[in-house]
Amino acid sequence: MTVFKKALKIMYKEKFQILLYTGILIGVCIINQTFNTTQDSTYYDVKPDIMIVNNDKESTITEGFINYLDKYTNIKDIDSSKEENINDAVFYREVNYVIYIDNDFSEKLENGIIPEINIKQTGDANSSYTELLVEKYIKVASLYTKYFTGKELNDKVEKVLDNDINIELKTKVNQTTASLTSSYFSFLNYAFIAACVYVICMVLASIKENNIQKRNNISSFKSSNLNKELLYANGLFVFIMWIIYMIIGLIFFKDNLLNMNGIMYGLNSLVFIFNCLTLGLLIGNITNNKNAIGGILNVLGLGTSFLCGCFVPTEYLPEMVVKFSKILPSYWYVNSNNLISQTDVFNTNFYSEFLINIGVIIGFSIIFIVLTNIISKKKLSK
Amino acid sequence: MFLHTLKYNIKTLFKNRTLVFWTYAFPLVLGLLFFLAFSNIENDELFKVFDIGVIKDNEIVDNEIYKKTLEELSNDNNKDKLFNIKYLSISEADKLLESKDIEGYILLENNKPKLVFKTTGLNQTVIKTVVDEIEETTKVIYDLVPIELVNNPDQSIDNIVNNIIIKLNSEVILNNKTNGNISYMTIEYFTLIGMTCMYAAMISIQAINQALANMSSKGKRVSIAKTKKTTVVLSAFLASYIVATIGIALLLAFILLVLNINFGNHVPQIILLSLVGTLAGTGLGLLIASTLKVSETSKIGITLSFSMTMSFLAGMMGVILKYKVDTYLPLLNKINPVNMITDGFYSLYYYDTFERFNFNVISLLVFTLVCLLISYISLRRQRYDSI
Repeated sequence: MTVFKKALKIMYKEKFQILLYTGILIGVCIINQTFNTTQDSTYYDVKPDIMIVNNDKESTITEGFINYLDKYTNIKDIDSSKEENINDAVFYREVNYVIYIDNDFSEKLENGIIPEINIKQTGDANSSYTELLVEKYIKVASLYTKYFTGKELNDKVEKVLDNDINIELKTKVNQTTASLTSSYFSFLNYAFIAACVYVICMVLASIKENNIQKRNNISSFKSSNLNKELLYANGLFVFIMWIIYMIIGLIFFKDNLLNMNGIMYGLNSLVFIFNCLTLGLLIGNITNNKNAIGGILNVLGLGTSFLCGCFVPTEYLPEMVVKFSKILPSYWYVNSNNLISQTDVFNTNFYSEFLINIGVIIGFSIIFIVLTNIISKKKLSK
Repeated sequence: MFLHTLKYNIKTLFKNRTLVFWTYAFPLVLGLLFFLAFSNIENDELFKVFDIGVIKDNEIVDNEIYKKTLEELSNDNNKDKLFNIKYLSISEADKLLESKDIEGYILLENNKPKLVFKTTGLNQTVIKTVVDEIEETTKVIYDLVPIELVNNPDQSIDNIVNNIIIKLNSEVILNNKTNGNISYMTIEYFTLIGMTCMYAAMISIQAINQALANMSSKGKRVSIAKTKKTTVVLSAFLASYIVATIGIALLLAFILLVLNINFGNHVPQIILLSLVGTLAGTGLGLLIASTLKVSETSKIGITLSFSMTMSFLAGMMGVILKYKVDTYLPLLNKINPVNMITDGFYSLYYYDTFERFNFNVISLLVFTLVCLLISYISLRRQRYDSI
C-alpha cells in the first residue's frame, strides 16, 4: 500500500494545481449548462424572435400580415434607424429574422402579384420556420386579394392559416429538459478525459521519475502490482470527482435525475470515468513529458468530444465520422446518454442496447489496462 | 549580445522537440478534426427520407386531397420525395411507432387531422408541416372555388383548382441581405486560431524559465552573467514569438490553403490579427513565468487552464456561449485575449467597416503591453541572498 499512499501524497502536494484545473473544468461545465440553449430541432413549438422594418404603414394588408406574424413569433422592438443596430441584433441572435416591408408591398399584393421581400436571417431552424410563415401568408393573401379587401381579407387569410391539428405525443418525456440533461452528461466527456489524463499524468510523472523508476525496477515489486496500486489511488481521486459532477448534475436537474433515468446516467458516467482512468494511466505510462501532456489531453478531450457528438449533435456529423468514432469509447458513452434521454419506460429494448454500450466501454478499459501493463513491462526491459 | 542570445534561445526552443511538436501539431490535428466533424453540417442533404404510417381503415383513405398529396410526396419518381408510407391499422401503427420503425402516423377524426408521434423532432415537424399545408390548401379551395364559379361559370372546377395550386406552389422571392452568414464551422476555426495564439504562452514560459534563477541551475548561471536582464528577457521573448509565429503561420496555411475554409477577403488583416494575437499569447506566458513563483509544472498547468477557459468563453465549445457572455458579462470578454482574436475575425468576416476589428487589435496590443509592464516590474531588482 506504500505506492497507494505515496500517490495520494503526491496528489496532496500538487493540490493547488489539481484544484485549479478541476475547478476550472467544473466552472466550465456550470457555465455551459447555465447558458445552454437546447439545440432542439422541433421548432413548431418555439416562437422565433423577429424584427419588422415596415415602410408600408398605412395599409390594412400589411397590418394583417404583421398581426399574423405576431401570433406565431415574438416581434421585437429594435431601433431600426441605423442599419448597424439591425446587423448587431442578427449577429447576437437577438432576432432570428428581419423582414423589410417595402412601400409597394400592399399594392403588389392587391394586384395579385407576389412581392419580392428583403430579409436578414441567422440561418438556423428558427429562421427557416419564420421563412415558412412569411411565404405561406403572402401566397395565400395573393390569392384572396382577388375577391376580398381590407379587414375581411385579413380575417379570411387568418382563418385559412389557423391550423388546429390534434397532435398526440406517446412519450411523456419533456424534450427540452431531456436534451439539456443529456448534453450535460455528454459534455462531461471532455471534463472527465481532461481531468483524468492531467492529474494521472502528473502523479505518474513523479513516480516514473528516473531514479525512482530504476529503484522500482530492480526491486522484487511486480510492475503490475505497482500499476494496480496506482490504479486504486487514482481511482479514489476519480471517484470523488465523479461524485462532485453528479452533485452538480443533481443541482441543475433535480427532478429529471431523481428517477431511473438519473440512476442510468450515473451508472453510465461511472463506467465511463473508470474508462478515462485507465486511459489516463496508459497515457501516463507512455509519456513523461510535461509539455506534451497539454497537447495530448486536449487532442483526446476535444477530439473525442467533437467526433463523438458532445459539442455537435450526432445527427449533424457526417456518416463517415460517425462510423469512425465507433472505435472511441466516448461514442458509446454519448450513445447511452442519448438513449437514456429518450427513454421513459425501461424495458428489454432499453437494457439490451444500454448493456451493450456499457460492455463496450468496459472492454475498452480492459484493453487499456492490458496495454498499460505491456508498455510498463517493455520500459522495464529497456 | 542580443542577437547572440536570440539565436541560441531559438535553437534551444527548437531542441525541445516535444514542445514544438505539440504546439505545432496539435492545432493542425484539431483543425482537421473540426473539418471532419463539421463538413456535413452545412449539407442540405441532411434530410433523409423516413417512414410514416397512414391508418388504413379510416376516413383519410377516402379523402382525395390527402390521398393525392401523400402519394405524390412518397412517390419514388419525385425528386422532392419526403417519406415512405405504410398503410396500417391503429394497433400495428402503435407497435411500429414504439419500435421507432415509423416516425409517426396520420389519421382523420371527423374530417380533422390527428397526428400521433412518439417524440418531437425534425421529421415530426416535417410531417406536421405537410399536414398543415394540406389543410390550408383544402380551405383555400373550398373558399375560392365557389366564388370563382359564380364569377366565371364556364370555367371547369379542375381548372380553378389547378390555378390555385399553381399559385400556392409558386416561389416567394426573399432576398437574403444578411452580411456574410457565418457558418458554424468558420466560428470554430476562429477560436482555434485564438487558442493556438495562447499556446505561444507555453513556448515563452519555456524560454523565460531558462533565465530565471529559481527554476533551474541554468537559470542561476544566466542570472549571474553580465548580460543585462533586459537583453536576456527580451531575447527570450522575441525568440518564443518567432517560434510561435511559425506555428501560427503553419496553422493559417493549413486552414486557408489545405482545408480551403473561407475567412473573407481581407488577407492582410487576417495576418495582422494573427501576429498581434501571437504577441499577446507570448506576453501572457512572460507574465505567468515571471510573476508566479511556482514550479514549472504548475506554470504549465495554469497556462493550460487559463487558455482553455478563455477559449471556452470565446465560443470554442459552442458559439452560443460567446453570444451570451457578450450580452450578460461583456467586460469578461473584453479582457479575454482569445475573444479579442475571435471577435476580430468575426468583424472582418461580418462587418463592412474596420472599426470593430481595429478595436480588437488595439485591445490585444494593450493586453501585451500590460503583460510586459507587469513582468518588467516583477523581474527587475530580483535579488537573491548571497548564501
